Formats: sequence, C-alpha cells, structure tokens
Amino acid sequence: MNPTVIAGLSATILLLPILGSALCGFLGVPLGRRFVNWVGTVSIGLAFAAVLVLLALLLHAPQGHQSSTVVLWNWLSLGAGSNLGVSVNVTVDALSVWMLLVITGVGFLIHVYSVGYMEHDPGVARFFSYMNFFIFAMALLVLAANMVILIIGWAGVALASYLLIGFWHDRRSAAVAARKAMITQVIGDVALVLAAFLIFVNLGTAPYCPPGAHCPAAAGGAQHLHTLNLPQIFAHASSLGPNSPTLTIICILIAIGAFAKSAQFPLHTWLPDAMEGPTPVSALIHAATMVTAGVYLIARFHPLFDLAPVAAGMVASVGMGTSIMAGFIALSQTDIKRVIAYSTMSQIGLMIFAVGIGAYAAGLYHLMIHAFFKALLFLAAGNVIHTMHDEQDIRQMGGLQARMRITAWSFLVGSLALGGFLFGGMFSKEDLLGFGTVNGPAAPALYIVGVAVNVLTGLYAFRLYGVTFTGEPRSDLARHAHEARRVMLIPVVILAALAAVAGWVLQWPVTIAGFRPAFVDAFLNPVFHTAVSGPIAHEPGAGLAGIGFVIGTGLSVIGIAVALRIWVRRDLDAPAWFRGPILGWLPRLSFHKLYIDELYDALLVRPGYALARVLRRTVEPEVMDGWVRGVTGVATDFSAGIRSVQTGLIRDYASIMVFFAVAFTVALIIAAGLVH
Amino acid sequence: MSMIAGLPLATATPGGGDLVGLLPEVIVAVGFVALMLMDLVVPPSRRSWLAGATAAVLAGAFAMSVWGWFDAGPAGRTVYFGAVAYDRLSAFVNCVVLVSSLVTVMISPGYLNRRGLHHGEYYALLLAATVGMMLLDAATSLMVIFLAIELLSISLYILSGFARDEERSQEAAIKYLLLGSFASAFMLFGMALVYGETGHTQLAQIALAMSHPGPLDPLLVGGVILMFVGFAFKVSAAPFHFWTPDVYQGAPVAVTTFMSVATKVAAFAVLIRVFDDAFASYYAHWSSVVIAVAIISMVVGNLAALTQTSVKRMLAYSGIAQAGYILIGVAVGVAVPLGVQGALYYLAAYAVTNIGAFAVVTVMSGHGEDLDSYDHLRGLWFRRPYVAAALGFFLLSLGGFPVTAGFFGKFLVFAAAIAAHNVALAIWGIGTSAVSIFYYLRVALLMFQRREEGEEQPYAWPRTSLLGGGAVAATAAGTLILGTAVPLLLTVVQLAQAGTLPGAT
Repeated sequence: MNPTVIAGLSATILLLPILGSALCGFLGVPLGRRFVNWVGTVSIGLAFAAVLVLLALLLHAPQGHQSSTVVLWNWLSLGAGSNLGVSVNVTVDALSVWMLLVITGVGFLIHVYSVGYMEHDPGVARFFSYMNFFIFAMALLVLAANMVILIIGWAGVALASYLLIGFWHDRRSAAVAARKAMITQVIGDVALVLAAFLIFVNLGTAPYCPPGAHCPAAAGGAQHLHTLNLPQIFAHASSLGPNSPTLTIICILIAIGAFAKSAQFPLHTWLPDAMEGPTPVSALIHAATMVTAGVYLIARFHPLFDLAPVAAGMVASVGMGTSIMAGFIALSQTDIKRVIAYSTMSQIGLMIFAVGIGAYAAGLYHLMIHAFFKALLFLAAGNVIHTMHDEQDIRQMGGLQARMRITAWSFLVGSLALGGFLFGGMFSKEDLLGFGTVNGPAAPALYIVGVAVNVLTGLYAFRLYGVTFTGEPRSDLARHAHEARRVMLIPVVILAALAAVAGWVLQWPVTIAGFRPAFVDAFLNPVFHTAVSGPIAHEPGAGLAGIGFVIGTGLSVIGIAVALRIWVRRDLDAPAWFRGPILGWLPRLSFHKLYIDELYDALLVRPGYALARVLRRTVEPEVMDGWVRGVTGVATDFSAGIRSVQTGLIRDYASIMVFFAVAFTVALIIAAGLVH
Repeated sequence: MSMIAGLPLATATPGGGDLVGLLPEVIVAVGFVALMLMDLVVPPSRRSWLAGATAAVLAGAFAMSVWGWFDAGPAGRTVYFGAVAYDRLSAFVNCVVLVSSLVTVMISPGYLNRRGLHHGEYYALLLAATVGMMLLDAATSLMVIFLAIELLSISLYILSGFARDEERSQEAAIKYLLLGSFASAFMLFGMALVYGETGHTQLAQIALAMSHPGPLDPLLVGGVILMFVGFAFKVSAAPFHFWTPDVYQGAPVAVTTFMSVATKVAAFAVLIRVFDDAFASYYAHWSSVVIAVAIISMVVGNLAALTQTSVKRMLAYSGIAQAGYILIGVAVGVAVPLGVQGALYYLAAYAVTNIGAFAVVTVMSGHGEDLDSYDHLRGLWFRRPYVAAALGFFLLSLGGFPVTAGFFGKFLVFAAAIAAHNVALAIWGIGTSAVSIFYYLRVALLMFQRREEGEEQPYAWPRTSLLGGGAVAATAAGTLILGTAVPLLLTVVQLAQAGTLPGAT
C-alpha cells in the first residue's frame, strides 16, 4: 500500500468530521438548518467513502503488506538523540478499517436519520457539531498508532458523550446522566493513562546489534524503550517476559479503561442513563461508536493480553458476567430505550468475553453485526418515540404494528438478529460462543453462562417486540401513532437490510463442518497472528464450532418461542408463576437492576456526600480555608506590596533601578574577586 | 573561532555584498522616509492609504528576510566590517518583528480613526522603530547596538505620547523617556567598561579578548552586568520593570501592542547574541544575575498581575513574567543549546499570542478611550463570541495550556533548565506559572459572565472590522499552529541558534 495514499486517506477521514464539526459549530447558527443538515451528514458520508477506498486498497494489498503505519505529522520532537517525541501516526490495517467501516458507515446512517429526528430542535447546529466531533474522536481513537494520540481520541469520545447525553442540558435528569457518564469515563481514562505511564517506564528493548557487527555480550542489558508508539510497544511486549506481574497490571489497567467505555461491570451504570440524550445519540453511543471502543482497545492491545493470561481471563469473566446480568435486567424494564440499552450491555459483554478468550475476530465480527441491528433497533425505537411524543414507556404502547408497518417490520428484523435466529446474531454470536468451549481454563464454564445469555436474549428481545408492537393500543398516543418521515425511514430500512443479509454474506461460503465466517477470518485474522505467540489459542477446535452453532441457535429459538408465547398479544406482566411468593423476588430484582445503583448510592455516593458534609463543616473552614487564605493572603499582600512600590513617581522608579543595578554589579564583582 | 580569524580590517569600503546583508533594514528605512513624504501629499481622509503603503513595505522586508534566511546559509557572515550580522538568527527575529509590525498596522487604522488620532507620522514612526529593532537583532558591534536601541526607543517615546491631548499618554511618554535614558546610560557605561577592558567594540573581538586566559578583570565583570541591566530594562524584566505597567497602560493600545511584543523580541535577540554567544566565556560570572532577574521577574510579574483590574496593566505584568520565563532559556543557553532554542521558540510564541491578546483589546476599544478595565470585558462572549473565544484562547496560551503556542514555549525553556541541572529554576517557573493561571482565567471567565438583569451595558463594543478580525484570526491561527506543529518552528530556531554570529562558542 502506498504510504502517501494511506496518509492522505487517513487524514481525510480525520479531517472531514472535525471540519464538519467546526463548520456546524461556528457557522451553523448564522447559516441555518439546511446548511447544518447538509454539512453534518455529507462530511461523514465522504469520510465513509474514504474508508471504502481504504478497504478496497486493503483487499488488494499483497499478502504480508496489509498493515501500514504512517506518520501524518510530528506533533512534538525534541530533536535527534532525544527520545521524547509524539507524532500523529496512524495504523491502517484490517482492524482499524473494520472499525472505521462501522463508525463512519453506521454513523452516516444515524446522521441522516438525525436530520429528521432533530427537525424541530432549535439546537441542531450544536447537535451536529457534537455528533461530528464524536465521529472524529472515534476515528482518531481507532486510527492512532501512538498511545498519546489514542488517549486524546479516547478522552474526546468521553467528552462528546458528555456533551451529547447532556444535550438537553436544561433537563436535570440529562445533566445528571451526563455527569455520571463523565465521571465513569474519567475512571477509565485515568486507568488508561496509568497504563501508558507503566508502558513508557517499564517496557524495554533488548540492545540492538546490527547483523555482522561485533557486539559485546554485556552491553548493559535491556534498554528502556521510552516510546508510546504502538508498533514498538507491541514489538517489545515480550521483553517483560510471559506472565510478568507488570504486564498483568498494565493489561488490567487497559481493561479497566475498556470496561468504562464499554459499560462493563462495575462501571456499567452510566449506559442506561445515557439514553437521556436524543435517540440518535443513543444509537451512536450504543452501536457505532462509544461502547465498541473498549472491545477495540483490547483487540488492539492483543499482543499484551496474549502474554497476560490472568488479565485476559479477568476480561473474559467480567464480560460474560456483565452479559448475563444485563440480560436479566433487560427482562423487566419498561422503558423502550432502557431495554435496548441493557441489551447493548449484554451483547458488548459477549464481545468483551470474546476478546478476553482470544477470539478477536469473532468478537469484532459480532461487533459489526451488532452495530447494524442495534442502530436499527434504536432508530426504529426513535421512530416510535417520535410518533408517541417522547413517551418511552412500553406499557403505554401496544398495537403499533398496524400503525407503523415499516418500522415494525424493521424492528422485527432487528429483534430476530438480536435474538439470534435467521439473521445477524445467529452467525456472529454463535461463532463467538463457539470459542468458549476451547479457550482458557474457565472458558467451558463461561460457555454455559453464554448459552444461558442466549435464552435471555431471545426472551427480552421478543418481550420488547411483543409488548410494543402487538396486541391492542394501551393509550391514546399509541392509538394515534403514525409512520415516520421518509428521511427517518430510509436509514432504518437500510440497517434492516444490513442486519438481515450481513450474516449470510460474511459467512459465505458456509462450510457445514466448520460454520466459520470465512471472509471475516480471512480478513481479520492476519492482524492477530503476530510474531508474538502467547499461551492463548486463536482458533476454535475443529468440529466444535458446528455443534456449538446448533446448540446456541437452538437455545436462542427456545428463548424466542417462550417470549412469543408469553408476551405477544397478551398482557405485559410477568407470567403467573413469577408473581407468587417463591419466585416473586426475581422480577423485582431484575426490575431494580439488581439494586446496583442503590448499592453504589449506599456505598459510594451517600458516604461521599456525608464525608463531604463533615469535611465542609470541620476541615474546610479551619484547615483548608486556613492555608488557602494564608497563601492567597501572602500573595495578595505581596501583590499589594509591589503595587505600593509602583508609585507612579519617576524618582522612585529610578532609585530602585539604581539600587539593584549597583547591588548586582558590586555583588558580582566581589564574587568574581573571591573566586580568583 | 574561524570567524574571528577571518575578520577584515576596516580599511576597505563596503561592497555590494554588505548591502545585501542589510537589505530588509534598508527597505524599511527607505519606506520610513517615503512615508514621511507621502504624509504631506495624501489628503487626511485617505490616511488608510498610508497604512497600505506601510504594510507593503513591511511585507517586502519580510520577503527579503525570508530570502535572507536561505541566502545567508547555515553559517552566515558579518557585513560592514563585522558590525552587523547577516545570519539566521537575525533573519528569524526580523521575521517575527516584521510580522508583529504588520499585525499592528492591520489593527491601527480602525483604532486610530475611532480614537481620533489618525495622523500620518504614526506609520513613519512605526517603521522607524521597526528599523531600530531589525538593526538591533543583527548588531554585532557595541556601537550598532546602542544606535539601534536609541533609534527604536526614540520612536517609541513619541508613539507612547501619541494621544497628545490625553494626560495619561503624555505621562507614559515622559516616564518612558526619562527611565529609558537612564537605562541607556547604564548600558553605555557598561559598554564603555567593556571597551576599556578589551579594546574592542566588535563582539567577535570582545569574545576573543574575553576567552584569553589571564587574570580576571573585575571591571569587565562590572561592564557586562551593567550592559545586562540596560537590556533587562528593554525586555522589561524585574526589578527594572517599573516603567512597564505605567507606559503600557498610558500609551494608545495599538502602540502598546507593538511595543510589548516587538521591542521585547528584538531586545531578547541581542541579549542572546551578546550574552549566550559573545560573553559565553564569562558565563560563570553573569549567569547568577540572569537567574536572579529571571526569578524576580517571574515572582513579581505573576504576583503583581493577580490584583490588577485593567487588562492592559495585567498584560504588562504578565509580560514581565514572560520575560522571566524567556530569561530562563537565556540563563542556561550557554551550557544547553536547547535553552537558546527554547527562548527563541518562546519569543515567537509570545509574539503571536500577546499581539493577539492586545489586538483584541484594540479592536474592542471605544471612541475616545481604551476600554480596558475588567468590567468592560464582562459578558463579551454574548455580544462578540468569536472575539471573546479568541481572547480566551490567547489567555490559555499565555497561561501555558497544551495545544497552544505558550505551552511549548514554557515546556522547552523548563526542559532546558532541567537539562542544565538547574531543576530549581524550572520549579520556580512551574510554580509561578501555576499562579498565573489564576489571573488569566479570571479574565477569561469574566467574558462568559452575564450582566445582571436590568444592568445596562455601559457602552457598545464596536463592530469588528475586516482587518481587525483578520488580525485576531491570524494570530489565533498562529497560536494554534505553534502549539500543534511544533517541529516546524523548532527546526527553524535550531538552525537559527546554530548559526548565531559571532559564533564564539
């Protein structure tokens, strides 16, 4: 691949969204809605086109040349010989292109949809400015080949999510949700920054000896690498040795960063609240951008995780744990967006599980399929909410199938893809779970949890569909619902088509024995076959995948069937046997989200406030204010002293000058005399 | 050393090659004379033409300086018998000075018209001061240094008092004149001592004489220190800074814009050339004074700025503090080349940032007076969002936030101090710049503060003219570029530092 072309295309992908953001932000208000709509969407569309060109180049690149790292420009370098330097360099390989396809492709559809969704909102310029910035930050994050740049993108994503979740900042709930998201993100940011510090300080390189030269054996041992360029980091990852505690700590810190972004337990509570933003924002956060960043991060740092099986095992367990927890919670939520939000958490948990057990390609495969059907579900839900005048409670809905046919059919496709039957998820999810049987010591146990998640997924997906779209309308709003505008339907239909066919196409040609996604494997796996070979296998055992596929799909179908039986055209309560005294706590537990918010409230928030109150009453006025007042007092006194010297009288100024001039001269002459 | 051996004796007449070395200065000097004459024939209503002509002269000189950068080559040479350097340091500093002048000319017509001060000699004086600065940054002889300083000072004395019917402006001019003469006397005395002890006025010869081993002469040390006092006055470093707040506040703000940036840049250039190069062998004797002045400047400038209520005065004290930071680079520049490079980088960063900040005050100034109290800026964001955003950006850069030019200026000089094993100096710098955040952000915050309901706007901000807006946008872009594309300028200052004449080190 020609480096100049790669650099140009990557720069285009980065610059178009940020340019769009700047144009919308600075000129959006004076130039009006039409301008914003066009700039906001076209910039992302063109970026997507550039990504497609990259994809074409990548597919035609000869074997072994499918990864290319180019320097866009040097941000900072302290010359030759100094090892401190940061350059904006980007890696274009199957992994980053795969992510970019999702980010810009699905992102573009969401932007188009937003044109319709935000048509009455006065803040549309601000909205598109933030949205484009979001895309920019994500693109920077996945393209970055330097950890500093990666962290800039990482923090940019957090900022964008804060701005967008709190987009309606005059609503208290939105402001609180935005703050919650930001605080959680900052925990992740700090972890990632600490990981960067540890890498910078600890990663070493064996002394380089050019071939043919005579190198003394004891040339000082390993030298510190002192760089944050990812290719170098990965190339020297093994210098710490396998199972090194440092590497494990680094990987755990990276994983904490990933958990915060991907809403994994225990940093997951921001995600359901994040739906306080406009619905396209939810679609963007849940499908195309933010939550996938954690999956990407672990996949990108796979050379480190391959060498740290303990950290990787933790990642897999947390992912699977979050997955079943979120699936359980999703069963009883009554807010249409909240159900989808928990389903996101559950699906992302599966992907985190996949990258934790080394099934990187499978995790990323599900990431893309999930982006399709999750964006679809959110945008279709947005149509519902739009026509229901911002009512989000599914108990007020029902019978919408007859009133909004296209949305309902699309939603059905999305639910099938999510549930794992016929479409999308049937391929990617089973492929992902198939690895669970072979990799890692804890994996078989996790696999059993995974198939349970399958049942839950089918259940909540079709509970949501049944309650919302079938049966009789349960409110006037639902009775007067109507189909959405075309600009909001077209993206939904496109996404429905993608969710329906992507699995089939990417799986092609289907081999009965393996049921492996041939294209995905061929495309993505070269990235993960690095020179560093860790203790984690990248391939599922032969023959198991086919059986796993049958088991997984079967359980999904059971879940779907039970859900259809209970909720389609029926009332909305839990089935009778869950209302009794014996099992009645289960729906309650689910409805209250396992009381985790309450737990955090009791363990962290309340004690925090209490501590703050105590500190404010005792420590603050005496100790803190004391020394702050002392310091500022000294500074102000000093300042006043200087001002009092500044009399405005020339004779004073001149005398002070003379004094110091003479003092300096005399002192130096004396000092010079003493020296000699 | 090789440069010194090849010095010609002053017997021949200067040739065409010498003229080439002074071409940018000559262009501006000719422009100065031409503008004085043009002022007589251009009708008063068409004074903006003079601004156009001035801009053309400056642009021409800028182009010649850029060409000179390449023509002089990495080593450079001296012209006019070793009196003036034709090297990359002078070309670089010329460019900074000329850009500062150019931006000043861009914001001047609108401002002068509003204030009713639009007189033709303004532009001529501006060019005269510019010539002085350009000569100063290229001077390699004590005589030329002194002449250049007087040329730029006298022009600036007049410009400070340009608002003739305003008492404050008059006061500023007379203060600047008296104290400036005072400082010149110190410097002249120092030069006399240096000449007396070495027998030379050319920096190369002085450097040669100084590097001879032999008994140390205390009077030579005294001369060096007194010269430093003179330069410290020009760069407004504490404790020789007292004129700065009064003059900056009293002078018309367009003049302050120019003075606060261009003078400092040129004076630092000569300070670097004389101390970090020519006087390098006396490093042990002068470094402690430079370090002391640097620390005093950082402390005094930053602390005094805390309690100001006028933007002009605050920026004056901030300028004193910035001089302290740049002096860090100068103080360690002999031992660590990064020091001089950092100082030069800082100068360019300071130039774009500070000129931008003052340009905002200039374009927002009212009829008849400069509106520069903090209260005048309150709520600017809600009326002039772009201008307010630009000022906020400049203030962040002055405070040294990343992605702005100011961050890398500070970063480089602090890095140089640490590389020179003077960690304490870097800590002084870091500590005081933490203090500075307070007063920079205080002003930034004021712009975002809404006025109380019912409280009336004391005056209307003028509409931003195309030129004024262009100046602000250009400086903001410069601040951003120097903060993002660091190697661009870093390479330039490395080359400038490496080729500095007389090349005694």
